Amino acid sequence: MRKVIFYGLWLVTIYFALRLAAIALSYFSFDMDYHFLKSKQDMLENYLWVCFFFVHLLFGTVATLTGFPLFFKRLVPFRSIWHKQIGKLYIFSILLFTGPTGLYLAFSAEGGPWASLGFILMSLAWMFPTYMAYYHIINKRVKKHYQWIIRSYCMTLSGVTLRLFTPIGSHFVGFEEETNFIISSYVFIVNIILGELILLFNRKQMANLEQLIDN
Amino acid sequence: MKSFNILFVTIIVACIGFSFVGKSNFDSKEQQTLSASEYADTISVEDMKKLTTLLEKELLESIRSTLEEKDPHVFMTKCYSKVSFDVKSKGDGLGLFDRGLIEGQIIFVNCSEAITITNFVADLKENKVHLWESYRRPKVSTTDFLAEFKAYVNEHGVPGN
Repeated sequence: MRKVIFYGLWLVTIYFALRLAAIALSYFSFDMDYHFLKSKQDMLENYLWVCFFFVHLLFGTVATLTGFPLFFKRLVPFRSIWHKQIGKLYIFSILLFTGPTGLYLAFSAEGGPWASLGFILMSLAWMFPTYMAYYHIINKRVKKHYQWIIRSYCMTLSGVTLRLFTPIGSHFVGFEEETNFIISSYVFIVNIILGELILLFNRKQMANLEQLIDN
Repeated sequence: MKSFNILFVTIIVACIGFSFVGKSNFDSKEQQTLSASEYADTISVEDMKKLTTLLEKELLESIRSTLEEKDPHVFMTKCYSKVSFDVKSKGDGLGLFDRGLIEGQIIFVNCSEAITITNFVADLKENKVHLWESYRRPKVSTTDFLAEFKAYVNEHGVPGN
């Protein structure tokens, strides 16, 4: 039963991760009137903003897609060179590209200064656990690395939570546009809580992590 | 790790620095304060509730279902979309609030792009809504308007798409 729940939740996660990646990639038609860009027409004259927007999408997609296979040792064995290389790609995508550009884009986010603050915190809350995961694995602390990378991937999926919240807030709850933007910029807190819950429910497995990795 | 840290910090500082070039939400010149207080002193809370109920019943629900019939995912997109209304402030034109008449617009926000569906005058005393300027004809009944709107959406698709 536990396995069914485990794989069921992973299937849902992978489905949403793929949808998120598809949404991000759909902007690469470079139609400057497409969906979100329709509401950012005043920013399109700023080439740096446009450049950072596409970098954010591209490396956000890379992080989303490279993140989940790394949790399955049958797909990518934990001690293999592939895990190291794909893991580096995931971490560098976040820390050097999509995280910093997200931080830049946050300053001009829809919804005013409160929404900006939310998105700035979101970027930091994404980069921090990713950095910690990298720091711990460089220092060979596997257990700590595993814990922080779970937190990091939960934050990677905060893009999913954000997009799920938008129609719920606007259509079902009936929030005004600005309120919706402000609240949606803080929904990443749900992902932080989810990360902590995953760690809490798996604390027994965490205790035997080294054994699990080698088996 | 040390060289990575230097690179990481440099990128972060550069990104924060760049954010001060161009528009930012923390730039006071860019901020606009829009709130319900614009009309709160001219339309009472009870009237606003009445207006919302009246418009929901007469127009908004039908407009939503027409749009959803054409595109079931119209409100389930990743960007902000909803059908709502806007009230003209007293200074903008008709100042009819005192007589129980409220002027405004039915708005379809499609991915943050606001499209005016029609203008209305709601008569709260009579519990009626009058529409005008829809398709450039004066005064149209809500029933006729909704039928026309449905035909328009069926033929041309969801406005703004």
